[in-house]
Parts: sequence; C-alpha cells; structure tokens
Amino acid sequence: MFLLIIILYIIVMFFEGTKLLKEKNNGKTILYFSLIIFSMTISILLSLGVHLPSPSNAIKNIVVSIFGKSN
Amino acid sequence: MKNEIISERQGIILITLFIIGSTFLIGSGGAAKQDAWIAVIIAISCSIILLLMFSRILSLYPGKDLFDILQIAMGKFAGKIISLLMIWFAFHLGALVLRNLSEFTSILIFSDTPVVFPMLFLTMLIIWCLKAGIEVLGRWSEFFIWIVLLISLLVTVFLIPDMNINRLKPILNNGLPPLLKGSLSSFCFPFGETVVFTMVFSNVSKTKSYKKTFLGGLLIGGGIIFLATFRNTVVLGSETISRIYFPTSMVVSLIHLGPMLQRLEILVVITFLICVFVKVSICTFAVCNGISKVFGFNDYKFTATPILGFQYIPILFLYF
Repeated sequence: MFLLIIILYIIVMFFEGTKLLKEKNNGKTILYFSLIIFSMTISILLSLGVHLPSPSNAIKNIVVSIFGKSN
Repeated sequence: MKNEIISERQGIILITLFIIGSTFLIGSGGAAKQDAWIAVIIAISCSIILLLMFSRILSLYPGKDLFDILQIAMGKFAGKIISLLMIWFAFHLGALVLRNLSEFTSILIFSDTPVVFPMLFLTMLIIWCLKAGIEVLGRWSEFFIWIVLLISLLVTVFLIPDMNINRLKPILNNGLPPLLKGSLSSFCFPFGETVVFTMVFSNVSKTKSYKKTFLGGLLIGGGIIFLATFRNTVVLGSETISRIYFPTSMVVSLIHLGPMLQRLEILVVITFLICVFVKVSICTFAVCNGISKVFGFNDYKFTATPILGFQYIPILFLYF
C-alpha cells in the first residue's frame, strides 16, 4: 500500500514536473515540488498508521476558548 | 483567472448548485425540528444582506478577487496572512464536503467497496476540471442544472400522496430559541459558505455589479433548499429526520406509484454527485487561486494536483 502510494506520486511528479521544468520558472517549480513532497509525506505517514492530530479539534478548542462553552 | 470569462447566467447557476450542495441530502436547520422551513426563510432573508455585501466588495475593485483586494486594502503582509486564513476555510470546506460524499457512498451505494477508489476517481476528475479552468465548469453546469431542477421537482411531485400537513403542527411549539438556533445554523451552513465565490469570481463579463448574480443564485438555491426541507418535514416528520442520516434518500425510497416509479434512489445520487462536484471544484479553485496569489504567481493551474492530493487524504483517515 505504501509502495503503491510512492509509485503513484512518482508517476505524477514525473509527468507534471517535466512540463514545469521546461517552463523554466524557478518559483513555480519550487512551490510545486514542496507542495507535492508535503502531500506525499502526509500520505505515507497515514498509510503507515501514524496517528496525526486532527485540525478540527484544534479549531474547536480555539473557538470554544473565545466564545465559551454553550450547547 | 485573467482570460477566463464566465457569463452572468453561468455565475447564477454556479451559485445555485453550490448552495444546493450537500444540503439537498442532509437537510438544513435541523435544530428547529418542525419549524425548519421557517428557519430556512429567516436564513435566506439574512443572507440577502450578506450577499449584497459580497457583491459590493467585488464591484468596488473590478477584475480582482478577494486575495487581491485584501493585499490592496491591508498591505501585502497582513493581506497575505488573512488570505491564508480564507484559503484554510475553503480547504476545510472542500475536505468536509468530500468526506460527506465518501460517507454517503460507503453507506448507501457501494457498501462493500473500500471508499478509497470512488473518491480517487472523483479526485482525478476534479483535477482535470481544475486544469481546464472555470469557464469549462461554468459551461458544464449550465447543462446539468436542468437535470438537478427536474429531479427536485419530480421527486416533490411524486411525493404528494405521502404528504401530511399535520406533521408541521404544532407550529412554534418550543418557542423562539430553537427556531433561532436552527436559522443560525442554516445561515452558516449553506448560505454563508458563498464567501468562497468572492475568491473565485474575478471576471464575470459585461457586468458592473454582481448583485444580480449573487442574489439570483441565492434565491433559486434557497428556494430549492426550502422546498426540500418543507417536503422532508411534511413527508417524514421531524422526529424521523433527527434520527436518520440522509433524509432525502429515505424520502425518495418511499415513492411507490405503480410498477415503474419505485426504488428511485438513483435520482438522488445523481443530483448529489452533480452538486458535490461543483461545490468541491469551486472550493478547490479558491484554494489554488489563493495559494498562487499568496506566493505571487499569475497561474494557478499547476498547483491543482498537490493540493487535491492533500485534500483527498483527510477523507480517509482523519476526521477533518
């Protein structure tokens, strides 16, 4: 499963990365590769079963601390 | 977004499909039990004011969307920070809607398939749609709105034998507070989310003001939500609605008129898929547009794949 994810990401990076490298816009290439490597790390971590904290709990805590608990 | 022009009519249709979104299936204003229909009317009237504000913001800076406006009005740094918050909102919304669709798919339609695969194919379609641009989405939705409207009206007409007005009574039994809570939730949930359109509409052709676009979409979309809520309450009753996950699906499974018109749940699935596709596409347009503007690029299409890859993941594992 984890290998499948890596293979899929490498295929996507290969197809889209070569198109972007031809455009020679360094900013775009850096942004694209950083975003896709971030996305790849999170996919791999999740497929290995690492328990990542959920952002919705963080948002809930922030909102409750501002508005107070009701309901 | 520079050369993509959507016509006013396509704008109205996009807003309508966005508002119908996932509310068509789940129902709105549930806190107000049998008064949910009054809650929806109050929410529509409050959101008229909200959408007039959005259209005024867009008219004051023609040809620019919210990210540009924030950077002009507040300076580059503060504008970028607030843009990041708005991008986060649009991202979270898209992920929640995708999660909704994945739960619906795995509970009702493909119970034995792992939910990864239908969602993977939908994500690939959305990436394709993003790379094609918003003009393509506008033209697509111009065709599919008729299917959605037709199905909504047909389902309502077929359910007339099962309707019982007495389920709406006693009106305002629990007093005003639950009604106001229901109208607040209905105001935020389908109608308040149209702020995403301020991040997407930078080029609607031939208009100086977006009033007609926003208000037309709101009234049509709101009308369909009102119809759906009223119909669900009148057919099922408020206690049943608070207990089941997908009221519209249950309501459609009650249609039984002769040998042909029974087991019509597939119509609801088609409508839901069309509306969710538009909703997630627009949210992801907003995110891609935002990220490319925060980092200073003109083009947003290259960011489609990594952002959607990142948005697709929380469906499966996190409760995002």
